[in-house]
Amino acid sequence: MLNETQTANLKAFAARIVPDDDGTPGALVAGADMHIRALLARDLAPDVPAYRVFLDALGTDFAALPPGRQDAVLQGMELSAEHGTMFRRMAEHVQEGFYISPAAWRLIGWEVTG
Amino acid sequence: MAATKYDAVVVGAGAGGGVIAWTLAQAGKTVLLLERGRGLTFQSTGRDHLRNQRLSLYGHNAGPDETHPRTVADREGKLRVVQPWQWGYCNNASGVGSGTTVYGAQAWRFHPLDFKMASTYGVPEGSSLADWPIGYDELAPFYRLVENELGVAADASQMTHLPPYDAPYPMPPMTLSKSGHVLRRAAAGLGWDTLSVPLAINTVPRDGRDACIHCQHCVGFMCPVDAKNGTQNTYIPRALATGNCTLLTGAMVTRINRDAEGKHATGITYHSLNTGEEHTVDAQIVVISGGAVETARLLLLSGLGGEHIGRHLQGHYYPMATGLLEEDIWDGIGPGVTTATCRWNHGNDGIVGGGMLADDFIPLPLSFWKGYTPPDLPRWGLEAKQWMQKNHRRTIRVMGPTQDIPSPNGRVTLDPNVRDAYGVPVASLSGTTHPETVRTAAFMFTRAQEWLKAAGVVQMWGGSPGLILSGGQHQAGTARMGDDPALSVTDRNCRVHGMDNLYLGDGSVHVTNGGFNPFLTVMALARRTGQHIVSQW
Repeated sequence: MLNETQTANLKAFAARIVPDDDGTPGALVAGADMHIRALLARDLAPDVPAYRVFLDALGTDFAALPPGRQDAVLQGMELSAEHGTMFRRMAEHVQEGFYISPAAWRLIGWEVTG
Repeated sequence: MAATKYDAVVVGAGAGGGVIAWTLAQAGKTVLLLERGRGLTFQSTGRDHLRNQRLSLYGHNAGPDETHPRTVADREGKLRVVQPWQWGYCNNASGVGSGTTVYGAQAWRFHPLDFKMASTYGVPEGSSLADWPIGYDELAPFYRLVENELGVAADASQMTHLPPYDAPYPMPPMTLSKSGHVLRRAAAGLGWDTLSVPLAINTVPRDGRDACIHCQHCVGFMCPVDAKNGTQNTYIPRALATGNCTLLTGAMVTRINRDAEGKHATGITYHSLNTGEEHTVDAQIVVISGGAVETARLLLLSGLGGEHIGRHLQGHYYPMATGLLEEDIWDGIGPGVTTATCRWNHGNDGIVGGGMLADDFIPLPLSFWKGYTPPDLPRWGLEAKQWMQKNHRRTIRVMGPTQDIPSPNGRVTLDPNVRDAYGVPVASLSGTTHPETVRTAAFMFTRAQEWLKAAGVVQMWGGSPGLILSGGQHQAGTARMGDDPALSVTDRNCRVHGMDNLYLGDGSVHVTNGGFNPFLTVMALARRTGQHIVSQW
């Protein structure tokens, strides 16, 4: 579905959408990038071409950039006419992957009893 | 294949169908109860936060599936195909018990004035606001029966918006949560009466099943301990236990059959998902309980119903006010909807109707992220996550069903081109509610915000819908009752005009849909219709 660079970029993208900079769990601990890859194989299959275009547009060195630089790239993508809509869509997919995880539930205090 | 004969065939094993099937079976009639879906269990429906009947992002958990599409028209009338879990479809669960397996179970009676909307408010131009041919007094005994037979937890002495009824409910009201306490204190400060939300959920063990364990899922999911009362764990098993009722699942009814003169239904034809074949069933009485959209579709497919069939589709409008408190109030005591006010259902100066307001079911974390956050919150990054961490347990919501003012143009028709997997034309949804509904919902939003302000919120956001088609899970109105066959589809006993033995047993017969969740009214009407059928035998 995604090549090696696209996969690395997706992981880095997710890590900035829900960061763990403050020491609390973020998208990676929640497995949000893996969740998206699973969806791309079925429910989100129609999105695969658009995902590839966006992830390629992040550039081949995106995953290696320091977080602050990554955020600047993402802010640019978010504001751009070409990528803004797909940015918001993909960011929401990351949030979905995050908020269905027990790590997120513990973070926000949604305690499951029964 | 030779037709088999029953006293009655009931189409759709949901809220109304389950009640009618039992009412007829326990009176000694042979009943065939047909359901296109299957039996549903907690195990089979699960707790997928992405795919459930409340938040259906990539599917849902109680059907129907992609073999049952519909089409929806945009403002220009252009049609698009929608799947059952997609926005605009107007879905209800497909299976034994239908929506009553996964609902929030708010068991409200309609208000007396809900049956007299035109006499009370006049008829706004362009609307199809009308009175019911029957009133609250005629339905009250059947509300009573259903509250006891289904199992409703409430306190009759709190129902001060209704004519007094002193016989007790079978179970006491649900446990109050912290947010319920906060809202009650706030309402007292405003001089508003509040009451416990009536719920068709066991608050004590009853009917051989456990009491609610206050989990955090409820609405959109089946109950892990079977404490939530629906027709699948009350009326339908009791109907089967009489020995007079046969339940057939995987049976998609495609036609109501009539005799040569056309005034008498001989029975129905269904497509079996079990055999892959068509079967015909003959019956003396035919009852259709497919829900407002599917019942209208079936009547249209069968050439029945007259000019009003499919029209006046209603649901409820939901203004939603959300606010931030300075202290944590989340205590996880589900279901979460505990405290309502009926002060604004009627008598609002210059406003047509009104609605009920209450707190909300405990939202899933993802539902909270998508629906409870302030509009100016960034949708990514640290600030977004930290807002959730800090404020998820401090957020409070007030919302509730605003009564639709119907338009004849909000309607169900048959799609001219698209067919389902069984080759049958699908339902097509078009039009909108009447603009007065938007006005009333905006008024209710202001009241909701007043309540939140009195509760001490430091920030508020939210809104109410613009002009859209109202239907959804509370769908009603598409086969309205009436004494005049020129203005209605069924008579006051829910018998289709012009037919001597065809009855409807769901919300399609509602003339208006009240300012309350409608299922108890659906069931009370079905209870009354079933009793009427028996009395006429």
